[in-house]
Amino acid sequence: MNFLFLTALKVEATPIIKRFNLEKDLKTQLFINNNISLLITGVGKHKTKFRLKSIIDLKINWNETIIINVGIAGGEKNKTNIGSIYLINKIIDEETGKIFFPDILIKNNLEEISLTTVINSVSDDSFNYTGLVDMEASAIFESLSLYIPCHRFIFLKIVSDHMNILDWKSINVESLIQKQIESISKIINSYNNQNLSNRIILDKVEINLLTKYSKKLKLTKTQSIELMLLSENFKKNNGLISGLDFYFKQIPKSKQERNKVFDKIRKHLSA
Amino acid sequence: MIKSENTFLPDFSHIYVESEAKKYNLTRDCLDRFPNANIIEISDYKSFFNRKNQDFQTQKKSIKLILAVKKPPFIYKSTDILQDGGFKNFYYNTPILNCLYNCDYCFLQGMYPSANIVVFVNQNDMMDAVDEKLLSREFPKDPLALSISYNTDLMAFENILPITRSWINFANTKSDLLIEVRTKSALFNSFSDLSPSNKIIFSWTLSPERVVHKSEFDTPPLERRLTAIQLAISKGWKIRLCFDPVLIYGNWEKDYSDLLDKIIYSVAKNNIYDITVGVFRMGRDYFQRVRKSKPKSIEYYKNYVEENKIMTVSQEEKDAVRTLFTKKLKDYISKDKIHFWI
Repeated sequence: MNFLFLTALKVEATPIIKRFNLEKDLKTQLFINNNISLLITGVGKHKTKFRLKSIIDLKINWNETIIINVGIAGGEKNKTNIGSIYLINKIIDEETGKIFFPDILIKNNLEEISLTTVINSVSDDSFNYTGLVDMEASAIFESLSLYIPCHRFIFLKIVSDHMNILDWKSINVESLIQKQIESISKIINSYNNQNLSNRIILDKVEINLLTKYSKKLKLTKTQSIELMLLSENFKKNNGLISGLDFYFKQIPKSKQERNKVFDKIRKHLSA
Repeated sequence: MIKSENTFLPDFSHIYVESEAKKYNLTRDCLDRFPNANIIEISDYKSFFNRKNQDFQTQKKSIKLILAVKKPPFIYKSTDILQDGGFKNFYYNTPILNCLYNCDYCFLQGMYPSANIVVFVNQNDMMDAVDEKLLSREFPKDPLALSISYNTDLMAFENILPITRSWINFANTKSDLLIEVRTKSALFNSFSDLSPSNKIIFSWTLSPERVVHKSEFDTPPLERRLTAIQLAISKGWKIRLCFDPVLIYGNWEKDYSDLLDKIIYSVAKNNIYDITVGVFRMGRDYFQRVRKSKPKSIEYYKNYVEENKIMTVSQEEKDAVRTLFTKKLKDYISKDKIHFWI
């Protein structure tokens, strides 16, 4: 599996960068080491959405990527302890009212809690938020849920205050994250499970080859889709795709000729 | 076949409870049954159940429970795909959405975006709707037949919540109601204290052990289903045997032939209400949705034919199924008691 850490602040990222020996890739601004990478999104929903948009088109294998948002959060005074780490099971966007639920399928030892994503930082505990409060989580879920299924989102929040802080600089964010770095590592280990990745039948090489064949034969869109589906059937039933080269050796001179060849391919793959 | 991956949380590690559902007894019973579950309050079950980009098969590895209040309609007219068993007034309802089992060929994975299980805690509202339908049914001289296990295996849930029992008790108070409980469960002994009722048909789906092992994940083995059937028959309950779907694969005839031999030998025919036989069939839209998720099961990569927006096996294969079952069952049960759904 690939893991993409998202943090709002550089100080939240530092312990993770150190722990996993991540190095900055100047081209993408991602910190990377093999299957683990990290992106600093900036504070707030707007910046987060903007930064995430910039990485969507990167050659990230979204089929195998797990998103881990790590950051500090304000906590309800009577239910949370400063410095404790929580796994988020429900995210409420205060502005839009939208609610997001990451699927929690993998065993872990973390306490769970709900989270509200707000626009402005909260330093007045009279608002009575239940659970935790942050400024990015809902934007992360909303921006990436087109690419990532619900079971590959992890939101880990470390309580930095009880929503009554006047001087934010008094919080040692790096230290709070550092103290939980082993819990974060454990989560990585337990989620490093191939069963969480998207199931595929045709690999990239096969898909590229079939796309090339489709273009060469000038197949219609419907025929191209059918070729993919029949190829999946063939591979599922036979273990691999074979014997197709023969049909793609010559470029058909007419639609009729193409359709004849495609009929033969259909028969071959349906056998 | 049973679950074995211990990296996943156990089923029902999380229970999502609609705010409106909290006041119902069934909710309290369920929460008492799982004292260590994480309870998450939701405003509407659909906000969790209908999320985008869920993966049905991955969720099956750690199923979550949703407790919700069903809104009308509480009862539905049967569909073309559901076997009506020859009943003119045939309806179904949905006490539970989704199933504890995970059969390869099941339409639920195409019907629902989520593998999580929804239990509707206002069962009484569903019973009231049946009462109303009994009075307004289309063919008043015929009983109202109601399938309560269409979108789930209700009996499989009996150890968790005794919903089947409550429907049996309900049916016993009605004169023109016949309830079908379709199941693969072996939990029949949960009803050992009940007197047999002619208002209930227990319909067991049976498959060769090879199919059970390969394609009916988390279901009881064939032997345990047969034991449950034998117990039900010995107590005097009405039993329907369902061979649905009969799966077509290399040497399927031998496996199904052996299965029928075993049944003919071990299941007393006197209380067999009828037998239904069907082949794989799934609405095209459901089929395509399942196929798009790239399931591991081979069932979705076969060459089916499309008939009236339903994906199914070829006529030749249907004929072969009909021939085999007709031949094998001819001395076991009268022809009019075998219903082919092919």
